[in-house]
Amino acid sequence: MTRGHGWRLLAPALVLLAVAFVGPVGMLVPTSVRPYVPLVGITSGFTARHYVRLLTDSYYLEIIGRTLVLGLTVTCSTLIIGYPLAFFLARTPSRWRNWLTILVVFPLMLNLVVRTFGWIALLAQNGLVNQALQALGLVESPVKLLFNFAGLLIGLTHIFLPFMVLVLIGAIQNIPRDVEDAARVLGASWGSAFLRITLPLSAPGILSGSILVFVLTISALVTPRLLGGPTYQVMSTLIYDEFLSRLNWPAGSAQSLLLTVMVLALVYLSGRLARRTGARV
Amino acid sequence: MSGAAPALAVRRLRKSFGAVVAVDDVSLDTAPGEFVSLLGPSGCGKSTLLRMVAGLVEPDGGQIVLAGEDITRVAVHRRNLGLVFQSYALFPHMTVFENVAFGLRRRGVSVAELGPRVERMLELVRLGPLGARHPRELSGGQQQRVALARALVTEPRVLLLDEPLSNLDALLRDEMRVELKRLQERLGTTMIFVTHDQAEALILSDRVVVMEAGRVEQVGRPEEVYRQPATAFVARFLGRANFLAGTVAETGGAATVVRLDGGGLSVVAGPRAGLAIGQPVSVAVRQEAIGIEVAGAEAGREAGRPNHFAVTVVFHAFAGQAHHYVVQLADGRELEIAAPGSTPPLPRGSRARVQWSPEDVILLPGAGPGGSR
Repeated sequence: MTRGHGWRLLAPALVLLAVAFVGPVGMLVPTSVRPYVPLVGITSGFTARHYVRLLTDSYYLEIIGRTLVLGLTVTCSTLIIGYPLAFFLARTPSRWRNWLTILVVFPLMLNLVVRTFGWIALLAQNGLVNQALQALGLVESPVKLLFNFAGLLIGLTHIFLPFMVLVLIGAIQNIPRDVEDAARVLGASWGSAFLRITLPLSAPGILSGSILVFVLTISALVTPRLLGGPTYQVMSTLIYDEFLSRLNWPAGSAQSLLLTVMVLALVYLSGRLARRTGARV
Repeated sequence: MSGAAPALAVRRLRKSFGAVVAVDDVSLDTAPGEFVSLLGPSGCGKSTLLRMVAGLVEPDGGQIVLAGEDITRVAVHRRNLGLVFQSYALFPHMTVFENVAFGLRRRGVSVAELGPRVERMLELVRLGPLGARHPRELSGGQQQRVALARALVTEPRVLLLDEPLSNLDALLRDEMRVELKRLQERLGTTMIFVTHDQAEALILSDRVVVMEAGRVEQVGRPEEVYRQPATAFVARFLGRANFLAGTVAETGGAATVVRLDGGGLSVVAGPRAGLAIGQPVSVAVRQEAIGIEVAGAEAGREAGRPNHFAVTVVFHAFAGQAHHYVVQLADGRELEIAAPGSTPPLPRGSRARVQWSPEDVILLPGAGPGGSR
C-alpha cells in the first residue's frame, strides 16, 4: 500500500476527529481564559485564574485526586476480577463458551441508568446488600455503600468489567498453547509457567484493557452522578455542574481541558510503554 | 535391540477423544541412544502418543516407563524430558540465551554454571553469537535450532520431536536433517521423532514405527519396513508401489509364482514361507524397482522370462532425478514406473519392455490391510 492510499483510508476518521473532537476542544481554549463575573457572565479580557484555582485550591485538588484514584481502583478491580474470567473463557473447551461470553457482555445491553438504579436499590441503607449482611450477622448497623467511594467503585467496576474481559480474552487467545506447553515440559510448574510465560505474553492486552477502563472511568458521568449523589463529586460531575448549574463556562472549560490533557497524556505514555513491551514481545 | 533396559517403554497405551480412538493399545520399547521415528499420515495418533509421553495429554490407559520408572502419573514438569515443537514454541519475550537458560533455571542450576552451559549448547547448534537476539529476529531454521538447544541443554532422558522440520522449506529441511542426525550421534540422546514424511523417517531413524488409525502397523529398521512391508498400508505409505491382485500358483524353495487375476500373466517372487497354493495375495512392486528399456528385436523371446513384460508407454514426464512413466501391459493393466533421470527418455506410444527382479516383489497375503501380522 502506498502512502497516498493510507491517507485516503484514514480520511473519513480524520474528518470525524477534526469536527467532533479537535474543533470543540479547541473552542474550549479561548473560553477557559476569559474572566467570569457572577450574575454578569463571561466578560472580555484574559485570566489564568481558572487554571490556578484548579491546580491550587484544595477542593479541586481533592476531586482531581479522587478521580484518578477511582480510575486506578476500578482498573485494578476489573483486572483482578476479569483476568481469571477471561482466562477461563479463552481456554475452556466447553461448547457453551460462546454463550458464556455473551453472558459477560449481556449487562451492556441494559440501559446504563436502569443498571445504576439497580445498584442504588441494592446498595441503599436498607437495600438488599445491607439486609443480607445484617441477616448473616456480619454487621450490626447498615454499612454506607452509597454516595461515597465504595458505591462508585462497585458500580463502575460492574459496568466496565465486560470491556476488560473482552480485551483480555483476545489477548489470552493469541498466546500459542505450544509456548506454555514448552515451558512446562522444560520444568516449570503450572503456576511458574503462568507467571513467566502466560502473564508477560498477555501484557499488551492487560495494558490496552487497563487504558480503556481507566479512561472510561475518569470520564464517566451518569454512574458517578447517580451513585455519588450531588455532593460526592468527581471531575466529570464537577464539569457538568460548572456548565449547567453554575453557568461558569470558563471554569468548566478549564476543567474539561485538564481532564482531556490527563487522558491524552495517559494514552501517550501507555503507547510508549506498549512500544517498549511490544519490542520485547 | 540390545538387552539393555529400554530408555523409554510404552505399554498398551490408549487414548480416545470422544468417539475417536486416537491411540489404540500401542506398545513400544526404545533402547538407550536410539533414534526412533513414529511415521504415519496426519491423524494416525503419532502426535498424541508423543504428547502422552511428554505428559501433555493424559492417557486413558496403559503405562509409560522411563528408564525403569513408571511416569504415567508424573506431572509434566517433573518428567525431565525434552520436547521440540513443529511451531518452535520459543518464548517470544525472552532472548535466545534466556530461552535456552529457561529449563536450567527451573532446575535451580547455579548462575556460575548456567552461563557456560548455555553458551556451549548454543555453540553446538551453531548459534554462538546470537544469544542476545530475540526469536523474531531469527530465521525459521535458526529458531528451530534454538528450540533444539533449549530442549537439549537440560540433558533430557529422552528428546521428543514433533514434526520439527515440517515448517522449514525443502533445502533447509535437508540441512537440518543432517544436523539433527549428527547432533544425536554426538550427544547419544535417545530421540523419538514424529513425522509424516517417509523419506525423513528412513534417513534419520534407527527404527521406524509405522502407525495408522491409532495402531502400530509395523516396527523395523528402515530397510526392513521399506523392503519387507508387513501390510498393504505400510507398502503404500513408504514409497510408491504398483499393487497387483492374484493367487499363489507355485511355492517352493527357490521362488513363489503368483498368477495375476484376469489374465494369463504371472509374477515370480522370492521364496516365502507360509503361503498356500490358491491363496489370494497382493503383489506390490515399487516404481523404482522396475527397469524399462526400448523393445529390441528379441522382444518376443523376452516375454517368456520371469517378470519380463512387453509394454506400451502411455504417459511420460521428466521430474529431474527421475522419468515417470505409465505403461500398459498386454492384458491392459497399467504400471507406474520411476526410471533414473539419466536414462534416455521413451516417448509416449513407444513399445518397450519392463522387468524387475524377484527379490523386489513384495507379497502381501490376503486382501485387506493388516492381514499378515
